[in-house]
Amino acid sequence: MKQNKVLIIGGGSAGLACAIKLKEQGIDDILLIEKENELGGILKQCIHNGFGLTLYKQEYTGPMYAQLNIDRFMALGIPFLLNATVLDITESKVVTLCDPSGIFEIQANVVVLAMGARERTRGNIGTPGNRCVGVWTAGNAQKYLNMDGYLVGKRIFILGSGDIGLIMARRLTLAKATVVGVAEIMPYSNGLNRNIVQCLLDYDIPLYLSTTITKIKGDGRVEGITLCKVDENRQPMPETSFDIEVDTVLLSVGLIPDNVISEKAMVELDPKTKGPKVNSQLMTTVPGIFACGNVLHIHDLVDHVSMEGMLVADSILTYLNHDTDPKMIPIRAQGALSYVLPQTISSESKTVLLKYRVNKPMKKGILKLISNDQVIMTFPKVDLHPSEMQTLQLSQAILCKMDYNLVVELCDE
Amino acid sequence: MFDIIIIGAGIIGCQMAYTLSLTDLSVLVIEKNTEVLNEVSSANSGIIHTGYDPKEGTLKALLNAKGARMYRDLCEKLQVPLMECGSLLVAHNDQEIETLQGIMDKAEHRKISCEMLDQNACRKTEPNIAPSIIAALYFPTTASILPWQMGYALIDNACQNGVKLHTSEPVIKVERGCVITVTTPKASYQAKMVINCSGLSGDKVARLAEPDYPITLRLKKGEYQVTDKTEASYLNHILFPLPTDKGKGVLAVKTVEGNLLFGPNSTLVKDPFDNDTTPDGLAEVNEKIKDVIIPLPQSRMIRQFAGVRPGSPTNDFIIENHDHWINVIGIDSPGLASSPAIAQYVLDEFIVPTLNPQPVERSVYVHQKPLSMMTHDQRNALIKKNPEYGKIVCLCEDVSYQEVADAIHSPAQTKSIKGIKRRCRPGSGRCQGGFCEAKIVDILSKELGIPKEKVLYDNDDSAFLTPMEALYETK
Repeated sequence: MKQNKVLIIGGGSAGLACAIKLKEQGIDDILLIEKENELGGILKQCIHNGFGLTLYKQEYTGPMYAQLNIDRFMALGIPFLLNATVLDITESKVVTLCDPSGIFEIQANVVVLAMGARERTRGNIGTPGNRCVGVWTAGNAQKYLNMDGYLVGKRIFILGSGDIGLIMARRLTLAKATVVGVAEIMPYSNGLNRNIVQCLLDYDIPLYLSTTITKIKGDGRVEGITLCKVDENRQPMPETSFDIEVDTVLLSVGLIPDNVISEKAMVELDPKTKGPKVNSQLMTTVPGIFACGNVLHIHDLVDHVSMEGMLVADSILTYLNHDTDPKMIPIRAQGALSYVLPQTISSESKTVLLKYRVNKPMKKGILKLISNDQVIMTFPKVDLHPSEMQTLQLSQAILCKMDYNLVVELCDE
Repeated sequence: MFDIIIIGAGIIGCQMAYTLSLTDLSVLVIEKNTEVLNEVSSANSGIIHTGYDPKEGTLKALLNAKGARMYRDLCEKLQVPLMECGSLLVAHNDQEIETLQGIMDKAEHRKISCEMLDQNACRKTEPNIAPSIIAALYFPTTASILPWQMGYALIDNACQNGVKLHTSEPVIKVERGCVITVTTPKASYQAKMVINCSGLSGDKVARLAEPDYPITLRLKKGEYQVTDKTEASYLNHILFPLPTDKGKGVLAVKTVEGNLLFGPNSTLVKDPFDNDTTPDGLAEVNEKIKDVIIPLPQSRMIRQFAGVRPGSPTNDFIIENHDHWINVIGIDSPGLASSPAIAQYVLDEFIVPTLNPQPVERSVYVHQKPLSMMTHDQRNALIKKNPEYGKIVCLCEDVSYQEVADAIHSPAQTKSIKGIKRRCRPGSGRCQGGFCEAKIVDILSKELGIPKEKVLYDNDDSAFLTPMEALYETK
């Protein structure tokens, strides 16, 4: 059986960043696996700009950001496989792969999960109506348009105000399709504010909040939809329903970390993030298996994805060089937080970057760090939004005060 | 001039075509959709019922038990996966147990094996069974099958054996004389006998041959939820509530591929092609499924669908010969289970006396089994011969480029994304085509030699891509 020190699954932003950093720090025995016929991941189809502001202090388009990383990766001569799919992976890190040369196994010391996310589908949310052609996820329509050069429809409605949906509203308008509107079941948008302004308001595309699609009509092709306001329990109120004629419905109703492979390796998943449970080194519950990027939790900025890949590279160096078994302290989210990452903190960590999301928009709030029922730090927070991931850097001074029963809580002032 | 024209390539038409292809008769199958098996046969529970349920003396009673017993051999011969997982007919109270006992007697009388299980035995064999269930009747021979897998195997073999298949041709006119002339928008065809297997259009097509044909089909729509394959171990058997006048009730079914089906409800509809899912229908399924199993959350579902079942007013199959025009209509549940016996019945009762066909020895066409079901050695041998077998295009279901190409070029051919999905599964997994649909478009375009904007999703009017250049030219 072939052996590799580090096997990285996924050649998108997370996997590339991890591979580059590993190689730069002297790890040579790396193999990166990519299922598509080129590197770069989903950014390849995100031809809009706005990438790289956090990490590079410069604005790139998706393909530019991807190419930057691909060029560095190629320059370093890191081995990789294209058109290669992971069929199986065991807890002991034996990975079964399939590519046009055949099926083969690799024994790895370390595996990095960097497979990204998939889009939530119509079936996942159960939108009723006809099953005719004309309903796609926004990312799929984006692929048809930006990669292949084809439009999927002419009169389009978008369900869900996730960032991909908003970006597509603008993109489709520029491609001479008519975007009739965007509906969001929540009372607030789920996309970044800049995307609401630049993609909807600038093009006079209406955003219907607290609204969902209760019926997709069609016979062979989508002909229209019924929209309906929802109550505070997200239940449709039939008396508020109205019809719109469209030939296409795009869904932008969220991303789900793609953890089919992770589950095969017996990696424990967090029901909140839908990604692996990790410690502050981003190692999963299976020793030697790490996770970064959208497979771990959904990001709104690619910069954070790259940074996570780099953090995993650092952690792998430590993991390979030290045979330590540090004490792990669990940490959990409370109050107005939907999750906090990592799920456990190593007692040996020097600094830890906490990542969290709020579960509702908040103008002002207090973030508390609680250890053993004692509040050890408070941080005032303003303008918090579920669509924007927040971070909190814990210094060694704070970490040494943290004992057990750790809680991060966000409450109203 | 054909000996026989079969109108409709659903599971009944396909069984009919296959059965007749083992004789020396010349046969034409006319299908109005682009793809075979596109209506009732692609949207039902996929169960081979044992035959305890139909009323004594009916065609359903005669053909269901007989058909069910034919499946094992037929599936083995054509290499179609059949999962004999058994079923539990459940009871929630003493009165229902009494009903179970009545059914047990009826089943034993029909020589269908079954066994009564108490509450503990139910829990043990089916851990996620609804807590309110206190007993169940266990039928070990109830089986689960994907109807289109059976149908494709039948029609591929029929085509291989010389049956002609014309798709995208709705029948618009029938003239009867010493031969029968069947007309579609493309051509007119003549045959000595015609078999009307046109499912949801059964009564309409019957009236083309006989304008005052009196029967109108009773159409019942059923809605379903489909779970991800990851839930396969959640269920071991097919779970039935007690049957009522409305039908067999909301069931929990495990498919051959490991997805679970929850449904169907039953609503009378007027439009045979009303296969919309509805908020009320799905809510009903979600509620009633609780009678048989501890429910799963919506996030575990990957799809909803609805199918219309063409029942007859008498609730029995209609199989009748009107002077060389044979109606095989009103085939609702247990139509799938009965289908091999229906085809045999039509042959024996109506065709043998008229056309005296002679059996012909035919070799069996077996479509290569999915690579995902093969050993690594078997897969490697194929990949060595053709590297395209190593290029995975659908991750959810582990399907390679060449398997899609093979499906396109199988004897009965496949021309649409929906057909590919049924033939070899890309698009039926958790991403529902999000990752693979564009790749399938690519393969269809290459293998059929057509531009992407001509690639069909379903029927002939379902191409969906507009090239960007075309958009800018119009300016």
